[in-house]
This record gives sequence, C-alpha cells and structure tokens, in this order.
Amino acid sequence: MEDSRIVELFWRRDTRALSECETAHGEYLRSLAGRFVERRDAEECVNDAYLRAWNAIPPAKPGKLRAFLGKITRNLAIDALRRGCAQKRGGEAESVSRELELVVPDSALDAVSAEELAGFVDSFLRTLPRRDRDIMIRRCFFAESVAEIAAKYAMRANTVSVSLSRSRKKLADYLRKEGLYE
Amino acid sequence: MSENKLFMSFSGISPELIEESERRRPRRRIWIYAISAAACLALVLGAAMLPTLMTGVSTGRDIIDVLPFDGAGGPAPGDPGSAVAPGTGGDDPSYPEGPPEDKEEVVEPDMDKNHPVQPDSPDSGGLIFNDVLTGASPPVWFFMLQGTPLSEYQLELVWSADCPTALLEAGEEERWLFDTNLSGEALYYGDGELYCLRLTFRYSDSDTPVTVTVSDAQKPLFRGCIPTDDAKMSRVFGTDGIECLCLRYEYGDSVTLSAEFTIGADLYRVSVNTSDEDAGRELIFNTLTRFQSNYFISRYPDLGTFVQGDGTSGSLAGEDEDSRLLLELEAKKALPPWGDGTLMTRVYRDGRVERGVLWYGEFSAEESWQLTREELMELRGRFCGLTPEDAEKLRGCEHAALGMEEYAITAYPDPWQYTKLAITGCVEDNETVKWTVELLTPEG
Repeated sequence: MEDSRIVELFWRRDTRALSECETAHGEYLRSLAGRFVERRDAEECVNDAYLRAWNAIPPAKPGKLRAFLGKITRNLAIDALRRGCAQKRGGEAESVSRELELVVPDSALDAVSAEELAGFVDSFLRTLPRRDRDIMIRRCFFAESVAEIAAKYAMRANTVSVSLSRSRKKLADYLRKEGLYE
Repeated sequence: MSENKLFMSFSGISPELIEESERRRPRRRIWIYAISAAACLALVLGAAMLPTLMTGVSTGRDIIDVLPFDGAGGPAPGDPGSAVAPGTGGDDPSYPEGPPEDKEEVVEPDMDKNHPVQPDSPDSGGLIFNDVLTGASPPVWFFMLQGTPLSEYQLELVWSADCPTALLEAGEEERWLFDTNLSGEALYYGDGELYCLRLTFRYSDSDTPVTVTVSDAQKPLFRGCIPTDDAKMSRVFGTDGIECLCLRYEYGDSVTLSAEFTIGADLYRVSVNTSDEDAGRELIFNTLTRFQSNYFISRYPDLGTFVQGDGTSGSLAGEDEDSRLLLELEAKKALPPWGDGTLMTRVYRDGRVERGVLWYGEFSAEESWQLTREELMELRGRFCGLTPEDAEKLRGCEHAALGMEEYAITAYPDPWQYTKLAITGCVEDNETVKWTVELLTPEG
C-alpha cells in the first residue's frame, strides 16, 4: 500500500494503518533500530514507533511516512540506550557518535538545545553537494558503515571515508560560524 | 553508547533529506576514462606543439590541461599569466568556452590496463595538469611537475582504479625529493570523485631532483610525490578506514619514511628513521595494517620525527634483540576521558604492542603517583626505546626531569589497561625527547 493511503488510514483511525506500516516498512525500521540496539530491543522500538505514529497522526500528516517512522524509531532506540533499558548494539553507531564528538565536542554545545541543533544540522546538510549529503545522512542518521554506504552508492570505501571526513569538518565550521561554539 | 548531542541531532533532520539518501545512483565514472584519454592525447599533442602548448579536453565538467612548464620561472597555475586558467580548458581553440555542460553518459574505463604515454619531444619541459572536478563549486587542482627537463626522463601516465586516495589539506605544504631511478606515485583527489594519478619517472640524470606540487589556483597545497613501487605500500593505501596516506622519503644521512593519513577527523603521522629502507617500509606497513581498523594509531599533528627506532642496527637501548622497539607512535589529544594528553603506542619487532598514556601537567584522578625527585632520578635510568645517543642526551637533562616532580602523573584505570606511563623530558637544545618509565597502572 502506498504511504499516502496508509496515512489516510491513520487519519481515519483505522488500525489497519499499523499492519500496513509493518508490511511496508517493518523490516526497514527494525534494521534501522538494530543499528543502535540489539534485535529484541529493536523490535520493541519499532512497535513503540508505531504507537507514536498512531498518536501523532493526526494531526500530523507526514508526506514522507517512511522517513517519519524512521526518525521516530531512531529516537526511540537512542532514548532506550540513554535510559539504559536496552542493550546497546555498539558498532557503527558508537563509531559515528565518536567521530562527531571528535569534531564537535559535546561540551561545546551545551548552550544550544537539541531542537535548535537539529535545525542547524538540517540547514547545514542542505549546503552540501547532494552526494556528500546523502553519504553523511547514511552514516550519521542510519549509522551505516562505510562499506555499506560505498556499496549502496557504488563507490569506493575510501571515497566515502574522505567525503565523510570533509563533511564533518564542514559541519564543525558551519556550527562555529553560526556561533554555536567557539 | 555516548550520548553525543550532535549525533542525536540527526534525528531531527528533514524527512525528505532522509528519503533522498535512500535513492541509489550509479557512479559517474566518465571522467576517469576521459581524463585518461585526455592526458594521453594532450601529451602526444604537446610534444608536437612545443614550445608552447595548451590543451584542454572537456569531460563533462571535468577537464584536464597539459602544457609545458618552464621550470622555476614559469607562471603559477591560476596566475594571470598562467596558461592554465581554472575551468577554462586553457587556450585550446577547440574549447574556447571551456568545458561543455555535464554529460550523463557513463563510460566504464578499462581499469585493468595502464595507459602509458611517452612524449616524443625531448624538450617539452615540465608538466602542469589542471583538472576541474565535478561539483557545483569545483575546486581547481593543479598537479605540477617541475624540475628536470622532460628530455631527461620518460613520463608515463597511468590511471588506475586501484590507486589509493589522498586527502590534501588546504594550506598544507610538504616537500621532498625523489630518489633517482625511482618510480613515483602521486595521488590526489577532487571534490566530486576520488581518483589518482600515478607517475613513473625514469631519470637519465641521476643527480637531478624533482619536485611535484599540487596547488589550488592561489597557493601550493601539497608538494612532493609518493614514491611507492613497493607493492606492500600499495596495499596500505587501499586499506579501508584509512582515508588518506602520503609517504615521504627524505634522503640525507639516513632515510626518513613517513605516512600521513586521516582516520575520521584525526590526522596521523607515522614516521621512522632507518638506515635500511626496506626495513623501514616493512615497519610502516606492518604498523599501519596492524592498526588500520581502530583509532589507536598515533595522532601526531605536529611536524617532526618522533621515532627512535632503527630497523636494522639494533641500537635501541634497553631491549633485547628479539623484542627491540621498532616504532613508537604518539597520539596527541588522546581520546576521552583523559582530556588532553598523548596516547603512545609502541611496536616491537616481535609484534608485541604496548600502549601508554603521556600527560602533561596536573590531572585529577582516582589513582595517581606523585613522583619525587628521587623517584624520577631513579626512573630516568629505566627508560627504554631510546638510542644510546638519546639516552646520553637525557643524562644532561636532569633539570627537565626534575621539573616533573611538580606534576601529578596520573594513570587512570582505563578500559585499555595501559601498563606504561610515558613522560617527557626536554634536552637543553630544546629538542623534545620522549621516553617511558616503568610505572604500572593498577591493572598492571
């Protein structure tokens, strides 16, 4: 079923919306959550994401349901880790977090809220060339490995690595220019 | 998992950006083939059109210019007088308007074949390669070879998909000389796609050095070349996780081999002094491959040699023949939670690896040692990893060591269970010398 029709089901409060979400995006969401937490916890994150979506739609009417659900799932997975109620998956997510920490230390961003920071990151991503932007999103949002990204875009791993390195530096410069830190 | 704020903020990016990233796109590789062909063509044409030749061949948004360089007095790329005007394709009347619009066709080059070009002119001077790469605001990279007249060597251009990539930091300037009769490999990258240029030099004048410079339109970014006819080195280049790698050979009384590269946002340098070049190569190769998959390789942003090893002479102090120190690596600004400091890694010939932490100043800690002067004096004699000459220097450096008594030298119980704690001393001529002392962490 197309996403737009699934959203309509949500708006009609038709519980088939949830099963259709599962059919269309369940594996994708579990895969995403599974990059942050163990499989069992990932399953719970996805189920919680459906519930969040159920509560959010309406009034929300996401035009990109898949990404909408993905964002919720990612947040839930990270939240679960923060609360310590999930077993961390480690791996790439840990690496990505560390990579970003090295470029912009957490302590440098104390003064900015998470929402504001997300806005800046979104704006920054739009300044990147399309390919670099996609690579950075695959890495930083989906926590995909360099090898996975390279395979996805038919690129060499080194190409991806260099792109990421440069984008991270650009991000740091961008945030600095925006006055988020010195 | 660390709760990095920036990492978490990616949850807030727009759905359309996320969705866009899921669309796969074929790699555009036309430039590889086209540039290769352009380089061959330009060189052949260049030889026939001396002394002044300007050739621009468009490959979509990619372009490469090849023209003679008149040695030291020639115009710099991008200068008003330069024949290489960024993005214009030179003065070739065939391309008066610069490169045509982007092409969408995809041509897969034959990556298994080299494309040697041997200019038939003996007097074409040096070469400048100018490529304008893909991207909305493409940077202009010049690859400039100057020095010996072309008559004194043959030049082969080889494009290869197997070449490594090099990350050239803006403003970085390096220089080194080629050995004679040495095959060289020069690597560079563009904004749109990564690729490399492999140059093979054969000199008839064995005393003439060659400098290779990579510049943007205004200033040199990178000087030198990467002489790597060693297959093992090439393997290092292709290692995943190492984003760039540049090797430097300096020929003086001894040989210095250096590898510079980045992993993540960190710039690393590995360097070794050796009288045996082969041993030095092997050392660097083994070291990099050993650490290629993690972040423990030394971060060493400062210039300077810090390796105290000799690959063949066995002159290192304090170690037996079978386990003598081969390489010592430093990591400036070591990873949290220690804050500023230096992570040190020591590699021995037998493959043994030690890691230690070097700190400067005072640190709060749960466990710490406050070294007294007497303790330092005693420990001074227990350092290892230094040549006898270095050890001799330190003996004249007591005042520096004494200064250490004011420091709280700290070792944390840490997840890596370091068993060495490194401290520094400074000799009277301001040369910094590192050594380690046999302080054990609680785990040790």
